[in-house]
Amino acid sequence: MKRNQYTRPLILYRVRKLLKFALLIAILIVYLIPIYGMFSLAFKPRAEIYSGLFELTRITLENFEEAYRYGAYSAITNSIIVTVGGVAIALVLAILASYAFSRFAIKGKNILMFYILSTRMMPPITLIIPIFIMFFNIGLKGTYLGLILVYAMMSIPLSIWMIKSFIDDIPKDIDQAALIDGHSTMFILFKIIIPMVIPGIAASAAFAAIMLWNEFLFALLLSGVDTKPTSVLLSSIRGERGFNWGRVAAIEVIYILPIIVLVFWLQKYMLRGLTFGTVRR
Amino acid sequence: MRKQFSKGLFNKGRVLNPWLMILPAFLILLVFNIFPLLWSLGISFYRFSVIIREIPKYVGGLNYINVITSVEAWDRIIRTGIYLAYSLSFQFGLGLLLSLLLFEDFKGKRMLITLFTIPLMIAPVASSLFFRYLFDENLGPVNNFLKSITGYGPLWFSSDISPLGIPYALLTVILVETWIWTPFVMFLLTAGMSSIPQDLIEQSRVDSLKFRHKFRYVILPYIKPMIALALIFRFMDSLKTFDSIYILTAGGPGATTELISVYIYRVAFERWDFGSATALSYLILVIVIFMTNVFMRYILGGERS
Repeated sequence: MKRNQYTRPLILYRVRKLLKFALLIAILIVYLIPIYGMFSLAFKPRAEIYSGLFELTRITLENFEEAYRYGAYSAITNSIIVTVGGVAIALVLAILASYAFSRFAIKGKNILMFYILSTRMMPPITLIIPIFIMFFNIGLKGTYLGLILVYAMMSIPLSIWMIKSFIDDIPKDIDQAALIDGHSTMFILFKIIIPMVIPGIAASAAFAAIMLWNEFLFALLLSGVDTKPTSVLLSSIRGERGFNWGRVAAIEVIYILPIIVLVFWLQKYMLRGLTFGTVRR
Repeated sequence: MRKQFSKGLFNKGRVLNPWLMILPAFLILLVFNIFPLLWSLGISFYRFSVIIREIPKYVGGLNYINVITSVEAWDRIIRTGIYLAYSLSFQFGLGLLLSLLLFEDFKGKRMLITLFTIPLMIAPVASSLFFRYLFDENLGPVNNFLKSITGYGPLWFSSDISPLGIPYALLTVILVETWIWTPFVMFLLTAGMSSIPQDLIEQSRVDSLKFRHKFRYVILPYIKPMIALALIFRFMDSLKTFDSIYILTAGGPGATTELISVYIYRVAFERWDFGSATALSYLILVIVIFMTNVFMRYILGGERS
């Protein structure tokens, strides 16, 4: 009798835990169906496109060939060029700035950091009109350089806040000790601090890269026929009548696959990345 | 700190002025962020249309008056409000449910969370385009599935009113946005819950607290800041929603899903009325800055304590 009294709640507890887990898995499966669907559709022969999501009788690469003929690969190349360009500029400048913000007492630091954070909140639509006019007039519209500069502007705030949060985690005593040894600021930054936060910098770069890779509004208005990145290519398919969904899925798969790979690597830094480095753990 | 021996950046004892390190990043922001922002404020006081090639004409606050008194703009703002209410409550409801299910530790929890964040990280353009296939009215898998069960498939991109009281097209946009952003809410809430001290959780288990009480007195106090943070982030990003709407419905049918950012885009780049578009976007910006202030106060308050 006594035994029952104590074991029953335990069993109940276990059953409940199992049920919770089952529910969680069920939600996850439903949740990831669209992702799975993209992949299965991309490898499906054209005749079976509307045959249901789960049936995959024959794997074919014809959709990828058609995507190639549609210009998907040059769009991917464009995406890579503007993303890498934007991240590279932003990263170099953000490392310098975030170190200064983290280590020096600067007048008006809070106001500056607040401004930088507020760029995250600005609706891009406010900026796009003047930038559009500016680029149109000086001939930067439709060039890689124009998009790269705008992308650098977009990713600098995220990079500064994130890298600063990583540098903040390093004790200031290290700088002080190096300073007493007579090392220069640049030496301390590049030879002592950066090697310690390399994983953090890589994560910041990855988050910035994902943001730029996925960017659509600026790309839509500022890119030209030859420089349009993948997001714009995908959106231009939208307007066509009776287009081939298999080809679309193939482009989507090429487009999202690098992100999915990155997500697994970034799981440790996800919280900082999502909250602009304002929440640390 | 102040001594400077020689000019080389890497030379011993060379202490750099911190302003010099901030300057390059700041210059980019100045040229591509602050300057356009001010310019855009300027444009909002002019009648500025590219297409008729007239010289921009100063009209004072006329654009603002036009926007505020325009029935069309208010209609879009109300639509945006409805959209915000629905999509935020869906995201927070589902996000809270998921994070509660993830409350207890088990093997592979991190992996599960990571799998959930995939929709959040991939391009909204790609996922929205795929949802257009999924929700296709005639042959899409969703309607195939629904028809095989209930014999009826709703027209997902039409302006018919759905059982939830909003047009189906808007509902579809909300569903897709919920699919994309629920993981964000879930992720922040899970992080908040993991900050609950272990002994508090054990205590509540020993006391065999009812779930309702456990949630009210153990979980809620710890996730409150995270809820606030997620709410502010989601509020501001939802105002910006553009990609998924542009791909899913392009604002249509009619103006059913034309939320504020799509509306501004259309005014600017389809009617080429830059003056009104910038005026409206400035009004939105004021709302956003107000919210950022609240957000900042919260962040700074958190850092002080």
